[in-house]
Amino acid sequence: MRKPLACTVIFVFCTSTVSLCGCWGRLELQDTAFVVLMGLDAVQSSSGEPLPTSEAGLEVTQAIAISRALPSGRDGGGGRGPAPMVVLPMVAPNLTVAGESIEESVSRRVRTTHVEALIVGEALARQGLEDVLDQTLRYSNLRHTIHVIIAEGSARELITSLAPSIEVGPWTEARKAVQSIQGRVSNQLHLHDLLVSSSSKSKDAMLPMMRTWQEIAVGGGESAARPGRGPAITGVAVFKDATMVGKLDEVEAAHALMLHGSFRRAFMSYPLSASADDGVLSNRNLVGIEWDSVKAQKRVTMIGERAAINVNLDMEGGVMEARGDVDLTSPEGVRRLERQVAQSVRFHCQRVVEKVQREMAGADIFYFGDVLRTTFKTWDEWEKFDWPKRFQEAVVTINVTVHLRRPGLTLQNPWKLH
Amino acid sequence: MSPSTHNLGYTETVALLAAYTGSKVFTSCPSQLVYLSSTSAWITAMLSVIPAALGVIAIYRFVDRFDGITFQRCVELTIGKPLGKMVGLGFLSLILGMDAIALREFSAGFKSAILPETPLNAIIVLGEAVTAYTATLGLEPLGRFIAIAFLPLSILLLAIVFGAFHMELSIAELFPLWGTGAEHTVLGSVQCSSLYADIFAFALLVPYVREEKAGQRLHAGLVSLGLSGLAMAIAIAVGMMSFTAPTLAQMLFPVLQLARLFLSGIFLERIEAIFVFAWLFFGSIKVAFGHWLAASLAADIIGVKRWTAFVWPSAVITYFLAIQPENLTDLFVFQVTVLRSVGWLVAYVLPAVLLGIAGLRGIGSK
Amino acid sequence: MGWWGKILDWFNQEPAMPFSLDPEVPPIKVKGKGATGSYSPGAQEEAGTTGESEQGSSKPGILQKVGSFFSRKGKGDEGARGPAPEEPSVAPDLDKNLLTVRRILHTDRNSDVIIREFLLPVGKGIRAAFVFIDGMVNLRAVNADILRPLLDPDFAARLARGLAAGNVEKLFPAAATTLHDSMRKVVTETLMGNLALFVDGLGKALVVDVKGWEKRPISEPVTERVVIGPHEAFAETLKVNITMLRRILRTPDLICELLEVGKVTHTQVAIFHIEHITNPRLVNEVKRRISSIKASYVAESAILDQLIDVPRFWMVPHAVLTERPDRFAGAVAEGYVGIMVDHSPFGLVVPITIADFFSSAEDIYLRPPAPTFLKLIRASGMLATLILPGLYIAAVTFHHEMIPSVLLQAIAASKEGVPTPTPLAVFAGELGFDFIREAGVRVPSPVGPTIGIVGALLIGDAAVRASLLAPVTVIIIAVTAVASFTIPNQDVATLVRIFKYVFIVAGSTFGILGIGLLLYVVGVYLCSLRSFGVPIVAPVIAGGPSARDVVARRAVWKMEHRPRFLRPEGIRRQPPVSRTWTLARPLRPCKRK
Repeated sequence: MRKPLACTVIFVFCTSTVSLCGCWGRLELQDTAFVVLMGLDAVQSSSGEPLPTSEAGLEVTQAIAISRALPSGRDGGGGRGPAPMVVLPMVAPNLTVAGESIEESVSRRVRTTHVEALIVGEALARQGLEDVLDQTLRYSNLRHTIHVIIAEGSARELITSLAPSIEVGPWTEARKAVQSIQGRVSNQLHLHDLLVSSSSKSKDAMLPMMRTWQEIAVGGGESAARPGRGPAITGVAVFKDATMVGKLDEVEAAHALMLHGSFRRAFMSYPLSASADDGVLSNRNLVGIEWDSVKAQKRVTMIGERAAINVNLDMEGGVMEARGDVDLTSPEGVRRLERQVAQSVRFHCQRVVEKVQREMAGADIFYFGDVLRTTFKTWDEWEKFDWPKRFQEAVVTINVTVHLRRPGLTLQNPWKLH
Repeated sequence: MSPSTHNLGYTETVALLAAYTGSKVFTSCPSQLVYLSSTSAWITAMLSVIPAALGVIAIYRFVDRFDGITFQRCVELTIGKPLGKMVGLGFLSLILGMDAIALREFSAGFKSAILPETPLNAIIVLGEAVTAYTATLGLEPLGRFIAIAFLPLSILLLAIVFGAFHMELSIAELFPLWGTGAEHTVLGSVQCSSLYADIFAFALLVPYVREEKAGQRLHAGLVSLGLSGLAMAIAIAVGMMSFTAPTLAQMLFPVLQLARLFLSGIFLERIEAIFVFAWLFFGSIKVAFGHWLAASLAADIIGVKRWTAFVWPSAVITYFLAIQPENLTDLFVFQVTVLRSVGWLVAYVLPAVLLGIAGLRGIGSK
Repeated sequence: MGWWGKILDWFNQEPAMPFSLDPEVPPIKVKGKGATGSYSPGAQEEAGTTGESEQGSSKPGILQKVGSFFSRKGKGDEGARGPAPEEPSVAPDLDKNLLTVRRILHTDRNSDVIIREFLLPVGKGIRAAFVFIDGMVNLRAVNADILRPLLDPDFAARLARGLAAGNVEKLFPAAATTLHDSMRKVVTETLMGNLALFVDGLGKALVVDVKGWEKRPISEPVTERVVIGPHEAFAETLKVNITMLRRILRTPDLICELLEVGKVTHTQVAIFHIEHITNPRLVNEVKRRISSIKASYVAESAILDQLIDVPRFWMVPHAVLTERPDRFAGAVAEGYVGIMVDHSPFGLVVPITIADFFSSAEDIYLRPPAPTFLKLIRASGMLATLILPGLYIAAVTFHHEMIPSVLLQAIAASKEGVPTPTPLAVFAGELGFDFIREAGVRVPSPVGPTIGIVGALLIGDAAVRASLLAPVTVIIIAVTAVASFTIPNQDVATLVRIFKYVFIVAGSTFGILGIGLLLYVVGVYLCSLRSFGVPIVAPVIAGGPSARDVVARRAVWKMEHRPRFLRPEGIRRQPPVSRTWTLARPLRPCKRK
């Protein structure tokens, strides 16, 4: 009879502890409000200057999903009624206080466990995010897999523009907006990437930048009547450790990704030089290419104290648009076009590297350091080597090979045949 | 107590020992190793297996000299009763201490990971009650349970880590290969073998392994040690590849953090619920087996047969030990400094010394 | 011995060995003390009241004391009457015998006891009488085969000669006749439907088998219906059931041993095993347990099932209960021991393993991998029944962060405006479902399905419309309900339904931690169970090809071994090549010359 007795003791113990102390942390979904988007901005002075966070605190904007407006099985589809998000801005000394004080203005417990994206204003990003992000890494509620977006302008404005218009739920909307960026302008979308890049000396992060723009009214009905403001990708913000040091536009970002080796599919257009080798690019001759695969082979060697970086890009793609004097009907024409495109790509890549080296304190967004550190034996040597400083002086050589595998569905523009 | 049940098969022994030794990967142990030896931590984890394996061989040779009697009796026969009992008490306190540390770390992990508002005390007491109850059921059910659960759980964990990992695993983060220098790594591995000090449980387990499997006893000990070494090395390597060494060294529950990174597609995310079960099972088995070890050793030291009487007392002692550290930093530093330097001496060197004494005095049948 | 001595004694008691099917456990040499602790079944019988008390779980001394205390107290009411100081034997005097029979059978009040006195037409006539219970014998047989010959002078003369020669039992034209001199035995036989014949001066009673009572014919199984396979089920009559088994297992090695259990019921229990296949230790253990039962009422297999289990098994079934002769026979042929109880249409198969929780009678008739797939479905159905409600509560009240965002979006929307706390809603929903289920069983069968539909559809829908339950909660309850019907073993299904509530409590107090810890406890508890010496998780953990067959069944011709965990005497079921035609040279088309 000992086992039943033991079971009874355990059962009585469990039930009594629970009934005496209550169920810790139990929270019904009906009593919870979920933050979908969180925006962080630096507080601006009366003259519009951003103030340091240590003095003025943060401007925290939280977009909370309204559960009753979410699409549910009961009514069949959403989209009508109130907008499914409410945006609540506030100024608080730090994130913790912001999380506490938002509950004063919302009748429910506010949870940040389902934050889809953290949007950081550019001004704040340039001040550095180390201290601001401490809570997000220390507290288990905010996950490392949330997206981080840098807002050109203020985060608050961007959040307002991200209110769902096409997708029915706020999460799906925010997520799809972010995922469209992946592999095209930036491959680093998550808080985790920022954490890794800022703690590693051999690499730096580039996070997507977005701004608001006037939305084009799509379709009929209500949404056509009120064209809203929507988000648009403008490029990437380059970080050195956890501080933003500069930005690249979309084309530059794409080429940085190519050098990094994580470029995926994208459609890009290149102006060509008039003749094969004169090197002057013009928009009169232009070719649109959809890249299928871009392979980057990086080699870093030390020549004395200077690092010599050699990147071989092997690119494959298909022609999607051809304007001007582009000949795809003969093999020679294709070879010529390939050379022209390769030249154009090399030009872009070279420009990005130089820009980063010169203007952005040598933030290694191309992960050249990763290649170099494998040759080191101990951690101390690597630390002393001080790669970020040396990258600024490194010589970068880029070779590009382009293979245009497909000319599209036609060899020649039919209107140009005669 | 004479080991009257010889029902622990080879699989059960391996699973039990591997779970007992290897479940440290769920605590802060991987971080501690990275803290000590930087990017070469995963090499250290594998190299440390070698001194530990020598320790296991010493333990086995010592217990094997005496046919089928418990470790405590062996010790008492070798160095006399009074001294033997003192040595036994030393081992007992080591087991209780490691049990308490495991309990505290696992409970704290659960609190910070999944139940932030539940008092730590409640989680510790609940875990203590559950593990002590299962410990009273005996060694055999524990072994059987973990033998069944071990393989699926391990495959699941590996699948989470490798198969369905969305985040980029940067191999470059494993370099520089010899983080603190090759010499330091190799020498440090002796001290770091304290990491596997739990394999000392093998000494107490040997007489319970089924007779027909006697030839495989040593094999079981070594295989389980190897498995835990492999688990530790994989955890550290993957942790470094996704977090970088400096960050990993500061993390308290690196494997949990890894599981929280899982993100595959739009729906398969946030699957740490599955991981939590693996964590729970390994943690519970570790603590419950610790209770069993403590209870059976205590019964041996006192010289009575009813070891079940000591399970609940050992649970109470473990509870009070577990709530001793004021915070996790204390525990972390204590483990890095005290346990790392003392653990290997107690777990491997002491049995080796005992083996030497037994050999010199010619005690034992073989 | 003072109290201190008692405590010391308690501490020093060796935990009893679990019963094991292993051929022998080698003795352990303990140096120093010179004591040897080797296992022998005899020692075990001395040790405790249960044959299977596990390590540390038994306190033989205390248990024995408690047991003897109860047995002392229970003597007064254990049976219909206390055992007489002397066993009454059949006397030569007929009157004395009839008086004893009348006294034992209470004929003054028992109106169905028929005692017919008559004179054998030999010489002056020998006084004789027979006794039977009305309704339990075949009256036509009594009249034609017993009374008529007895009243025939020729037969009576032969009988008189037989009486003198002592071979009277050979004269009757009945299939089974025996001579008994114990009055108690005679009365018991009478109560089983036999006829007892007393002849003045014989000193013994002749018992003639004339059983013939109303019985249910063999019908289709109710609880274990199959599509493929035989459609007959056991009936209530032991003899019929034995016949059905003999018809399947036509080997002379099939042993059917009869035991009698129950002080009041005197129920016949048949134990089946196959010589040279079944482990004799297993058979002996089964016989030992059954023969040592001192209960008064054992009229059904399910009652016997509870009487032969061990304390630790108090919740989990200890034997497979089946009403299908084919399944029963199949198990016996595998090396299991089968137990049939008279007046029960269910046979017991021991030992049970965890695979039996998920196996149905049809499994063997299906082609692989169908049985494996079905077992997996049942296992996941069981797991879902057990933890799904608890897991749901844990997820939506504690661990919002563990639900994928898009799923959370759907759940949160559906729970909006529902005031009921989730644990209460789930608890009430599950309880409501159990109401419906129980009501469906109780009400007359034409109404039964209606109750289910009304209950499930109307109440569920109304509760959602009234915002008492969230649609998700209803889905969870419905899935749990459907999943609970996938469990083939009724005992296990009920147990799982009960434990579902425990998981609900665990989930609503400690969230996923509670569920995980409870699952761990249940797992270790299951691992600690041994059914007749076989760990019930044996098929999952034991090595060898035989164990795999229990979990994941292969083609019949590939299953060459009997389950090894039963330690059968004949491990091989069939030779390595069972389909010998595959060895023959393949047929080739004749070449035309």
